[in-house]
Amino acid sequence: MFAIFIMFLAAIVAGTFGSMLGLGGGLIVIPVLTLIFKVPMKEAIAASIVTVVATSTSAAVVYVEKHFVNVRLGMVLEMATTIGALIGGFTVAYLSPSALRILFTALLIYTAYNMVRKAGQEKGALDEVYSQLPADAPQEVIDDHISNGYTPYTVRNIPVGMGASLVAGAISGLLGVGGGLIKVPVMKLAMGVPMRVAIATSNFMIGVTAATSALIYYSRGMINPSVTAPSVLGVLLGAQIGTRLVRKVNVKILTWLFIGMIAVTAVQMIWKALSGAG
Amino acid sequence: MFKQITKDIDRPIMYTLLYGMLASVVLLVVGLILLFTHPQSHQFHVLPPHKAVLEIAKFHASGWLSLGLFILILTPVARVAMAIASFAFIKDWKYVLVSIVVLVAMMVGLFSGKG
Repeated sequence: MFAIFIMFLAAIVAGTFGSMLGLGGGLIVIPVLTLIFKVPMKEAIAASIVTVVATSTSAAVVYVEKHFVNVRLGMVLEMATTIGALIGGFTVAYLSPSALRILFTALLIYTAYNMVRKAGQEKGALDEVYSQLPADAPQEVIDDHISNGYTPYTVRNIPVGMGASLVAGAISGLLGVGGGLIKVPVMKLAMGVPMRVAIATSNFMIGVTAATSALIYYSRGMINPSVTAPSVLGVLLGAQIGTRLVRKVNVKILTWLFIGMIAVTAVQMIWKALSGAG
Repeated sequence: MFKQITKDIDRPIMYTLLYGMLASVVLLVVGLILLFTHPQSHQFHVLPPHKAVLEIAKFHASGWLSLGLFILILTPVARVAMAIASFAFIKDWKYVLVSIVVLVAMMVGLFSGKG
């Protein structure tokens, strides 16, 4: 039982870091579970995808309430992400844990590469609003800014968006991550969606995408509640701490610290993959 | 196309997400407390929902945790169902259809483990 409590504490730390870095949590939760707590790879993926449902849902409540989410665009792209999630979720059963570790490591390295390029520019949609305002701005000013800051835009390149969403959904279902790392840049750069809306809409879609593959894992009994429940609650709590801390810490230092951790994790993951661990 | 401000749709969707989230967090917190106080009720696999409900009445951790996780995963499903109802309410049939496609894909996931 002590291990479950430690797992809960570790999930709080993972959630705090994840939210400060603008990551959904899966990228941190899986290495923590497999490398520190020796949880089998597939069980860690299942636990992580449920955690992703939780973080996405709790963030989406705020984003939807503030009307940041383009619900119509989200629903259209979800047709592709859910089909991708089904493909990914069904494929897991046929891949060895070693193969999954190698794919996961590739995703980690891609994330690190992205972070080096942008060095901590990734922020939450609300943080983007806050960054345009003085730190001590009263709530009415913030609300006013949010409702007036809305600029009209035209969504273009739907086929590109659908294709990217399908890939993002498949990666999400296969590796237990959110996939925002693919959707946000595609929506912003290829589809002409403003950053704030892209982050909020991607997050909104992630809940449905992650739930689709989580349902596969659930109905097959692949979810271990004593691993998943502490992860979910810990990461949710950590995300709350993270949003409060993010304006007080130097995100750049945090980003480089994280990139260093990715390097160590990648080596350990590959080592485990080659030694054929479960 | 893709009109963004959809206040009549946003509110019901927001409440669906909020209440689903709250219900699952309550179940998970109780489940974890039960797990700490009665470690013998420890299970390595989630229970199907109908079995989880029976275990809840007996105050077994596995029941509370399984149902909490199930409700959490079902919350986005409920959100899509709510979107279908909301789009139907404003007679936006194209998006009713889009939302139905998404819901069907999710149902494939749910029923994939049976049989």
